[in-house]
Amino acid sequence: MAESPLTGARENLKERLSAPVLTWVSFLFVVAFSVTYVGLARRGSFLTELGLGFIALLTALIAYFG
Amino acid sequence: MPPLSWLTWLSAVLPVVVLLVLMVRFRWSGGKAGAVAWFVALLVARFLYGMDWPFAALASLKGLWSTVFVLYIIWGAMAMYYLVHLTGATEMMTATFSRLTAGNRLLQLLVLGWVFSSFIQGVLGFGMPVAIVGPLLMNLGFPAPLAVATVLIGHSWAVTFGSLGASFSMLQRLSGLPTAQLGFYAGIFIGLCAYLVGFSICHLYGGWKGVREGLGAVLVIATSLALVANVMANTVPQVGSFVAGLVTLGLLGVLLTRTTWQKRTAAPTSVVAAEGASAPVGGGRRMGFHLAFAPYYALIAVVLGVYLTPLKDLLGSYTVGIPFPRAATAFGAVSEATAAYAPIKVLTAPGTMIFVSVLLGYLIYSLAGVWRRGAGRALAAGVVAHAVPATVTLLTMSMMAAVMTDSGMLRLLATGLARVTGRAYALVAPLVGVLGAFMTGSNTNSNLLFTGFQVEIARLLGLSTVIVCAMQTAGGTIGTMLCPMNVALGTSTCGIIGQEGRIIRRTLVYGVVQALTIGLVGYALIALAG
Repeated sequence: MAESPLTGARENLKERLSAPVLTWVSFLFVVAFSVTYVGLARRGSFLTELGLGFIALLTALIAYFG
Repeated sequence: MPPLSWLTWLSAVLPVVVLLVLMVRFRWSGGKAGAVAWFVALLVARFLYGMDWPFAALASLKGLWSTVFVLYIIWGAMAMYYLVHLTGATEMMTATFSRLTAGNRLLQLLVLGWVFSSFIQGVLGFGMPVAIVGPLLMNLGFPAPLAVATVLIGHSWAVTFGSLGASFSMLQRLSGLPTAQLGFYAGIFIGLCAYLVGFSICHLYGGWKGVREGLGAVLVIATSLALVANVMANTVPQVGSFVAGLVTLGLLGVLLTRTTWQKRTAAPTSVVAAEGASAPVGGGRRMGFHLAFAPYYALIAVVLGVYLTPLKDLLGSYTVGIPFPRAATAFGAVSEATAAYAPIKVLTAPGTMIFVSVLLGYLIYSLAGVWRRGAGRALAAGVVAHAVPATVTLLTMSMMAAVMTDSGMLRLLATGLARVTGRAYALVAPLVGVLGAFMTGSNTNSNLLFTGFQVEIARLLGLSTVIVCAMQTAGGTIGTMLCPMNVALGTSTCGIIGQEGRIIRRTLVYGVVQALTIGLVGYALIALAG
């Protein structure tokens, strides 16, 4: 089946965004790591779950753009 | 760990299956497949292995931290690659290696992808052979997938006695077995791996015709490597691979320069200009082989200068590691509290050695007038462009491996294997080592994970603990040619990111054949030992 123009445009956009998004994701892992680590250090802090959620979000971006 | 059942065992294997299927069948990149596999591991660990979210976060952080060491190497190796590439030194090296081997492509693969990478593994390890020799082979005109697969296979046999004996020391320390006995049996298995590796490279290059063509060269090289490694395994195992690589490189140097051996080992099929002792470079000047190879000489000098002298202890005292609290799953799988998890000896880390060598190489090239003005910007851009995809791949995969390890999934996988096989466990004992290295990317970590387990199982089943432990480290050494982390390192440094599945498909067959051969030989040795 032929690719629709909309799908083609979306794929093009995804391809163009891929490199900058992955670069930012790589650096943001440092922030996610820090937030989660602070949460772990202060046992029971909500920052642990927040940090894990942040890591999950970054990983989902890798799954999409990678 | 939860009780062993088909459900728990199959759920433990699920993240690995997902990872392999996505990479091999659907040809996803390592980062993309690793991301999905991490989510799968997280869900399995949470809902079947009793790992709460804070523990899952802790495990993932441990995985992330353990990548820092490897990423340091990757970024350094890429800087080294671009430094050499941008001066045009690679063309010079290509011409020289081509001339030395009379354009014999198979011999080039064996000398560089096998012997030279074994030498590098002997002193550095941690993926360095893949990162350094892969691009070198590619510059000689080999297709990137072949270059990566060759080095992955070629350096693997040297891992146990490489990195100045890190893997072997771990095995010996955790098993508590006598060094001499352990070295003897590990030497036998590793020597056998050396022969298998040589034939694997020939087969990878040209099928059975390649094996016939390379037979003579493989027998000479493998005998030299295996013999020296065995002598060292029984005396100073820590430098087994280093000395074996060095002696064999010397032997080949004599054979290749003073005889016409290379012409007899196989028909030359040169695709690279074999002429010229010098080649034009970017700066318009001409350079000789030794100048072109200067950054690699610097690397060898830096490594030997640090690792084989008291400087190693002096500089090695500066470590960076981070503390982690204790955590446990509902089923009792524990991650003990640690004051400094996976500490990095900053000044003696392989990454530091590479960056120092890059700096020295840059100074030498600059003084010789072969470094173009403005090339630094191209170097930085190239490094960033290639390092980011490799970085995300390593981040996701190591998080997945850490979640699997801390939740007890990895241990349950191995226990199930032992339960099913019974006394025939010896046949699959190397596969446990392979699994450990596959998941963690390291023979040392595989030994760290499974040595205690192998000792436990061997005693339970009445098998020789020494032989089973030697099979564990042999399996770990084989696993390094398959592990996604090493493969990602190769694909990123050779510029074929996204082809990790293709590479694993190539190395998988050879890895399985080697593991099964070690299993059969080990089984026979155990039977003979009574």
